[in-house]
Amino acid sequence: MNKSGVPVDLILSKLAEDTGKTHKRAQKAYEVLLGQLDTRIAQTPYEVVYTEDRVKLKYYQPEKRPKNHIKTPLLIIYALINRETMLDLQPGRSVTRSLLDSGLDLYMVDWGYPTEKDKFLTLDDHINGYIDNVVDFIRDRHKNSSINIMGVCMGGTMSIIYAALNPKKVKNLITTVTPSNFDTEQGLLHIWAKHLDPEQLIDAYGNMPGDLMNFGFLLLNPARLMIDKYIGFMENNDNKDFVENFIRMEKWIFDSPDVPGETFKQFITDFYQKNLLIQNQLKIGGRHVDLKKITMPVLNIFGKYDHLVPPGACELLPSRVGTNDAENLCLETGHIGIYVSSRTQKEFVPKIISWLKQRDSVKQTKKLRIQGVS
Amino acid sequence: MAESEKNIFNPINMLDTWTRSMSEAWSQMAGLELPSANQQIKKNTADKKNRRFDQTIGSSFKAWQAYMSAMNRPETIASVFKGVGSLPDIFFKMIQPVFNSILIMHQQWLDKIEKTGRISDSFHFDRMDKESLNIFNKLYDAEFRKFLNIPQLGLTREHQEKLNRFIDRFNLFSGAIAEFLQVIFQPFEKSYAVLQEKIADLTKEDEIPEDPRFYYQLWLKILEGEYMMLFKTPEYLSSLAKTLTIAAEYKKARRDLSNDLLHYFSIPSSTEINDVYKDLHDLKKRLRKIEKAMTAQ
Repeated sequence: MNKSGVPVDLILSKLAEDTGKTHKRAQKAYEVLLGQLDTRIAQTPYEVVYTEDRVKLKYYQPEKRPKNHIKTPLLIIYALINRETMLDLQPGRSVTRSLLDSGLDLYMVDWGYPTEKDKFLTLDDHINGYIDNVVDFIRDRHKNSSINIMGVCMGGTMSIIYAALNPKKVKNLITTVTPSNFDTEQGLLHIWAKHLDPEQLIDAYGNMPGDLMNFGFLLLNPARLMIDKYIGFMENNDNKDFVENFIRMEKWIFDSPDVPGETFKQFITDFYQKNLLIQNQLKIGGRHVDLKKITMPVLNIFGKYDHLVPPGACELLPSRVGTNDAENLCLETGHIGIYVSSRTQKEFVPKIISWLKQRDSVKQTKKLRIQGVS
Repeated sequence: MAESEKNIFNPINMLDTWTRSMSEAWSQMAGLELPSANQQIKKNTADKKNRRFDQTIGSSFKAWQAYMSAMNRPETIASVFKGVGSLPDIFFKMIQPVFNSILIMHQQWLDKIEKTGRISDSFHFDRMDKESLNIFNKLYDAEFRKFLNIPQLGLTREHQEKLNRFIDRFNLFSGAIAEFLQVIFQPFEKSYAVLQEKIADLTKEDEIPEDPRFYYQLWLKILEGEYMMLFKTPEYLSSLAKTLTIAAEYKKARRDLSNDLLHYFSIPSSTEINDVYKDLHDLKKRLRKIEKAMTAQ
């Protein structure tokens, strides 16, 4: 008797057939999980060249410099959420490594782990304090009047603000999965953030706990992120490469520093709730952030299937800045896939390198080097 | 001593008075009108699930009322004082209504089990089975919370108030978390029901696949859809905001209480350390400004 019509007998026989395979797989998985696994992340060598409080500046020196390499150093400003190690997650899929192979001098801000004493740090402290000091350090070190900046997610938003406040110090601006328009219904984060009371949260927590934010990110798609992902792991746990890469990703995802309380409060209120940036009404440290002052070339890259920062939150930027040399590039991927998927590795970094090369004025850099302009 | 005074201090009379007053109190509780809960129930009287928790509470109150009535009977009171030999009699009378209550609760659990798998509308969250928790939260708010808000007196007044506030916020937090979890588990129930619908449709079309993975993928897709719908509903958004607000209030109440303890042991509290952090932050900022100005000169 089979009331529902589901061929239970056939399904059971199919399951029985699979039992043998499952047994073999379980045996192999046992060997893989108990064997030597290389799950290290962020393995590209670097040197810490500048520190200020918890903030470090990493310098990645290229092993070789091709003839037509980009002369202007590139500074990557990561978000205050999660860690910059995502850009160097695994061999063969490392944005850091790919950029470095082009021969450019690469710098990356490591925001460290904010503690209770950092809870009063504002966006002004991060942008006009740490970022400005880091930029000045690199300019001084390379005798350049301006450098290239690439922002990632919230780091991109901070880069936009920095570029608007200091246009002469930024030669080219690249924003990747960067929210600039927060008034969109496309992403759940944008909907949820409108219902938060950041004042109360920060009063209670001091800093915004990374674990709490991670829980929120998991809730964006519980079916995939809490169930299917781990079922996928169970189905492939006999594959050593798969297991290693899976663990690398897990290590990165749950390595979540807290966000300094005042910064979080300001980000939710002025950006997610009031959407001041794209409306040209934002003030940081008492200074007006005028997007029209962004006169350097702008490359704005985002993912079509990004559920955290959807296209609607990114795509307005080129139309609001004060340069005609601004373009959008929408890739067929999601928020993290843009940096780690093998498919976009072939598009993402090559595009950045070619775009920067086209705008890297060799004459200007040489001239400034001779003059010793800092 | 006058005869009336003797009667007051007679143990039988005292027990009689106490059991009578308790019996009245439980009678009132059993007929208690829970305003908002009742409004909800009246809205949807045909919906059986909305009455489940109300029935449970009602049956518990009735059990207690019956228990107190049993105690109130002259023969019971007399038997209390007859000695140990009459204990089984009292016990039987007392335990009978409790058993009745348990039977009612069992019946409700069976109803719940029976409900699992019942077909329900997909992508609709307007008839959430959340009344039970609502009633618990309302009951706590209306009946128990006020005891924690009784003004405290004397030397330890402030500490006692902080302790009461901590207990109160903990209870509210527990209720809010339970409510939030109930909301976010709702799509599971819905997805099973929708899956059954889909399978029934496939059966009609004679397109039933043999691969078990097909059913998993189908269920996952439905679950994902249910979540996407849920996360945009006002119910979810209000539950999320409420849970975060109450969690923050609970954390603050806990901090206030621990600050008192730390003060007692002469250890700086988090509030005091915060003041130092703030001063440090301001001083550093001023120093950097001066340094920059000096470098520029």
